[in-house]
Amino acid sequence: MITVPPCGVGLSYRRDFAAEVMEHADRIGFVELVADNVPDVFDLDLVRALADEFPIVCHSLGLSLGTDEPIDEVYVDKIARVVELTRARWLGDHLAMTRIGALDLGQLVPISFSRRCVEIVAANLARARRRIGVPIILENISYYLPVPGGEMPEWQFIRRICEEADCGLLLDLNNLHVNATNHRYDPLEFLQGIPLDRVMQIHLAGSRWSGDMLVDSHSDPVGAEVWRYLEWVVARCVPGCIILEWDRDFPPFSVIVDELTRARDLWKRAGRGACLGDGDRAS
Amino acid sequence: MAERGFQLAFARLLVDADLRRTFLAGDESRLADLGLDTATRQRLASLRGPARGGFEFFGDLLDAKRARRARGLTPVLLRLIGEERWDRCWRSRRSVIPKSESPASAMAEAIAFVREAPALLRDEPVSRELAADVCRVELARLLVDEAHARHAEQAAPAPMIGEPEGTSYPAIIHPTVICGVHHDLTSLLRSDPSEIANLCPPADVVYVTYRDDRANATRVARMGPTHARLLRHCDGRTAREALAWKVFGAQADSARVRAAVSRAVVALESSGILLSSPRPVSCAASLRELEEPP
Repeated sequence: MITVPPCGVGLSYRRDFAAEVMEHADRIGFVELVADNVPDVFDLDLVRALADEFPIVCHSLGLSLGTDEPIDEVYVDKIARVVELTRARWLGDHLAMTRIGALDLGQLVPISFSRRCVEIVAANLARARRRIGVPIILENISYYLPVPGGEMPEWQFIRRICEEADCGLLLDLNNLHVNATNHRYDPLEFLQGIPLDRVMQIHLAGSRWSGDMLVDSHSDPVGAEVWRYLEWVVARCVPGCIILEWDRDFPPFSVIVDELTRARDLWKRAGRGACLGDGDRAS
Repeated sequence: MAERGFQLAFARLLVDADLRRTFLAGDESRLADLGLDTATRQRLASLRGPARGGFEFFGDLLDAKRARRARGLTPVLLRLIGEERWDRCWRSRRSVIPKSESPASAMAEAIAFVREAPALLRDEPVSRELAADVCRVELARLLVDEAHARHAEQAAPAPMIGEPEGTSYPAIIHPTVICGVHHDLTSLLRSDPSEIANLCPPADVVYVTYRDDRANATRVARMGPTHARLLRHCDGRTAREALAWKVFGAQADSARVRAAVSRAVVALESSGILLSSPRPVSCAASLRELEEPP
């Protein structure tokens, strides 16, 4: 059962634009907080202040739900405490592997689109849910090679996991754009294949070319294709929030505000009702 | 088990550029310890097929990400030798496989790198002595950061600053590293890279790197030899009044010397290096001293 709270448009929080976020608080409906950064990058006072000011969704990088090993309980416990501290509405993590055995990969590594990996993710998600008291939603990642052993297309893999684990989806439209471009598949087939009714959050970001690969850069404006995908998706489902990610090479904050405004306008044009961050504030 | 074996081998290949190169050249011997079955070996072998370009690209992307992190963790060395030399040095290091036992694998890699960097720079046109000093200061900061990350969630005692009513025990509670170098590096971060050698004159200098929890930051302080000696005795078990005797011996009979020591303790407390407790405390693991390299 997926419950979708009111929609808002917001951004993934970075220390680099901390002052601007507070200054433009009325234009930011949601803040996504990377829980791994608490307390080393975001100290507890800052996190409490953000949670008092904004509705929060948490994001984590290291559940490593795709690893064929039980999840790291110490890590889950740390993330759970951040979720509790921020009163986050849900937690998003990735359909990926970030560690295995003694190796900490420090990067989202793709997993095989196989039945075995569906079982692995579902089992690890069930373990994480025992400790984390809010819904955990899963994000499609960008990947630069199809991992050997795949048995189905990505959209089908995602659909099977959502059904097997009964979980929501964090749909990263830039990752879709990057993957569809690099692996030459039809993004519309992907969007039609995934369970749109389970999309609780959308990620927007920019990409750039590196040689003959399109890379999920998080340091460029949102691409035209990604805006088109967003328009297509919001015409067909009601996500909980839309979050812009910008991690480095920060532009003037007005550029970020413009991107948020564009997403909000698109949302309203689709006739999807109220949108937090439209000069009003969530209670 | 088959999936885990595949994932383990795949991960190893991604984080170890040398292993990746030999594997792509057809040599699988360094994966033998994993005891992979035939089907898993065939899955891995398909990485040499159409997926090869993406596999190499992703491996390179991971390497670049780790290098970027390490550059960010070694800013003074980067400033001294410049990006090009730094990159060359990084590429020629012994490969360090990140381990999750370490609280921060990026820091562990950077620590290994600055330990090795002076030797890697031997053929570069930079002062080896100056580079060695810079690496020592970088190492001190990384060790403090790593220790802080490991103990971040342990509560520290509340500080007492200023002259206490009764006896108190000054202690180094947070991770702190003392290291002596043979150049004054104070101007390094402010100076133009081309002037670094001129701005870092030879001098025996002691730097104390410490975690200032009040500012949530790691700080480096230049310290005179007397302050450094004093700091070494602030073990949480030596009463404030006894410090002057430990540092100055018979000279501590002088009221002027005792007052100077007292002022120094207050200054160290104000800067966040020392905390004073009304009771003796254990802080044996907090202070670390970098030995001179052989």
